[in-house]
Amino acid sequence: MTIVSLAHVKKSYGAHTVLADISLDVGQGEVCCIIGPSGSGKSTVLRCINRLVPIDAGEIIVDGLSVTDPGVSDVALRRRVGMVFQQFNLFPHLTALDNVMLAPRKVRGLDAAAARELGLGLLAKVGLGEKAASYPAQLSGGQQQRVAIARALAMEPRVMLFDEATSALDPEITGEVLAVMKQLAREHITMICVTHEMGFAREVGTHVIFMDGGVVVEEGPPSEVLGAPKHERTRSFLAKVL
Amino acid sequence: MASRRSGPLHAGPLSAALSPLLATLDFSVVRDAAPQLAQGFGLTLLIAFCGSVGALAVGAAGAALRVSNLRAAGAAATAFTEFFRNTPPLVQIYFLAFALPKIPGIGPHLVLPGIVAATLGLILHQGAINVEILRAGLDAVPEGQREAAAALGLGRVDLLRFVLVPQAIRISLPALGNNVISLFKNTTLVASIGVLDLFGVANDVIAQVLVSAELFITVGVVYLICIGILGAFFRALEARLALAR
Amino acid sequence: MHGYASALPALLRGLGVTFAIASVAMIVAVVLGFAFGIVRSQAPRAFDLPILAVVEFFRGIPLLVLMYFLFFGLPQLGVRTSGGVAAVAALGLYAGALGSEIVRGAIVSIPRGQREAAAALGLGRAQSLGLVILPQALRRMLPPFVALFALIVESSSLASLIGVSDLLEAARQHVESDDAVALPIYLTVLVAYFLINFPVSLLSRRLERRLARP
Repeated sequence: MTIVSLAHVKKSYGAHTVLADISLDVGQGEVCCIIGPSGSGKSTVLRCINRLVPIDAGEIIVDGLSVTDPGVSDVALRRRVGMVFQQFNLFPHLTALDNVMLAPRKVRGLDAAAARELGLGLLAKVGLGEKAASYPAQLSGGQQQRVAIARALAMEPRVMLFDEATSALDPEITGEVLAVMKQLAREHITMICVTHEMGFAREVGTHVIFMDGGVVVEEGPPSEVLGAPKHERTRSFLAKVL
Repeated sequence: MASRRSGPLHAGPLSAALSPLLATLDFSVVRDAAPQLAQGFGLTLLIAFCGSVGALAVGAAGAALRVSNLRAAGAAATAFTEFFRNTPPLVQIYFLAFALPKIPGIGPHLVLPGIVAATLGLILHQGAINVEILRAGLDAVPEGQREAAAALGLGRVDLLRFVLVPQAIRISLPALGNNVISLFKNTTLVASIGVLDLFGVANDVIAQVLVSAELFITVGVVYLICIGILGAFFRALEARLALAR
Repeated sequence: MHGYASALPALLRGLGVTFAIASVAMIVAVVLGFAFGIVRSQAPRAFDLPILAVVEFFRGIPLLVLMYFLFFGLPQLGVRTSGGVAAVAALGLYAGALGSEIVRGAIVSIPRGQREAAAALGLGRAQSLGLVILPQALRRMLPPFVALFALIVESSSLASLIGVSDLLEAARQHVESDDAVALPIYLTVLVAYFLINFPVSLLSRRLERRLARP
């Protein structure tokens, strides 16, 4: 079944059109990778899905809820969508465990013991069980991003959004974060990833979307879009990146 | 000169210039007045403490109003902040002590005891400064923090309470500490309306013994020591709460 | 409002005195600030500590204690000053200490690469400072110095307590002789100070914002 569906989404900031006409569907368990040059609107697409950015026109349905419906609360929507940011955005004054536990306790209403168990389990899952009491400043970039992934997973969302999750990391460190993301893909977690990591897209992506200038230029399985792109723009972009 | 101990003050031309001056000073007047001075110091500490707590409360309330969505309340908070931080605390104290009771109608109900008027004046002035400090601190929290909190579904109250305010306080701590130190120094102003804080008592004693240098030097040293302790306290607090460990 | 109207000329004269005191003190503060700030930013450790001690002394002592000491205490040691001189001296020393921190902070904030580039080009210490570092640092000093002026104006009100006929003293004298006008007179004084300091404070913030834009 389709978890996220965008239909003719448009978004402009004043005279500048960021999203001209975006339509895409992501089914359960799929890993959708969005690639494209900077300024193409990729990050904006993600932010529209969880209503961090309101859309001007079109429709977005997430797990049966309409993003444009004012009757759908922010909380109801965001409980279903987890987001991992390029800059991690961990809360620096809280330990790793407290970072993971905060939203389950305050938004999902879990009690302290249940949230703690959930948090420790997720931190162990991303390989950071012993770092539960550490503060973000004491962790490396890769470790911080893995904590951020655990934090988003703690809300048990229906879909996980990754906004260039590895772009701010040193090349030798991206591996540990990609490993976690691949593990999630293998567990059939629905993911939408804006990424520059073509290897990741090829390995676990179920379909790839190439965006440029606010429109979807090409989409399909990785073997097609990355291996045998049909459009000239796709080809020239990949030539620069690969 | 052989009888003098050597030390940093007793070196070279500085000592030669100061010695005759210092020799004329007689600190026994300070010793004799010690009990009164100690009482005054106690009052200084009380005013400083109440003033700082009050100013922090005013600052937090004002900053909360300014960042809230309530436009009228926010505008009122801004007006209050700008007026009370751009006018001298001494004038504010005079106003509270002498002008309030003259307001037609309710004036007679607003006759404040000196210490209340003085402390209130300090609270309003330093509180207004705190509003600006805390507002700037809230603004300084990186935007990504708001995004992450929103993505997790945290509501406005939880966002402020668990994400923004803890970070804003850490960011604001140096400025808040400086403001407490300013307030401590400004407690001397209360003597102008007759309140017997340390400075007020000192002036009283001077009026009786007719010498002043000894008392001002002593009182000055006391204030310097207190400021030094406050400064060290806040530096330690900043170090303890620092986000980059 | 007869009492209030008759007070206005005196208040205006007092305002003039306030301005005069604040301006002279500001000049003293800038001069002392640059002198001590530059020395501290350039000097080896040996000079650093004594100057730091002096700066911290004038920042830590309550301004009122300093003023009273200069006006009442010094005569006891053989040095007589007028109220105006004592007030300006106290304000100047206090603001000078703050000013030296402003100057030092601005100089130190210029990226190290600037000094390295100047040295690599063969410029001497003084030349680097005068031609490369200071011109850049001056821009950064402007907002805090403007704010310092507002602080000086605000603090000048203390001069009234050592008999200087500034705005506040003029007001106080009139209220003392006719306390019915306490409300309008002190309100006027508050507004007068506000009308001076609010624009100055806004200017300082505006300059700071302009600085943040590259």
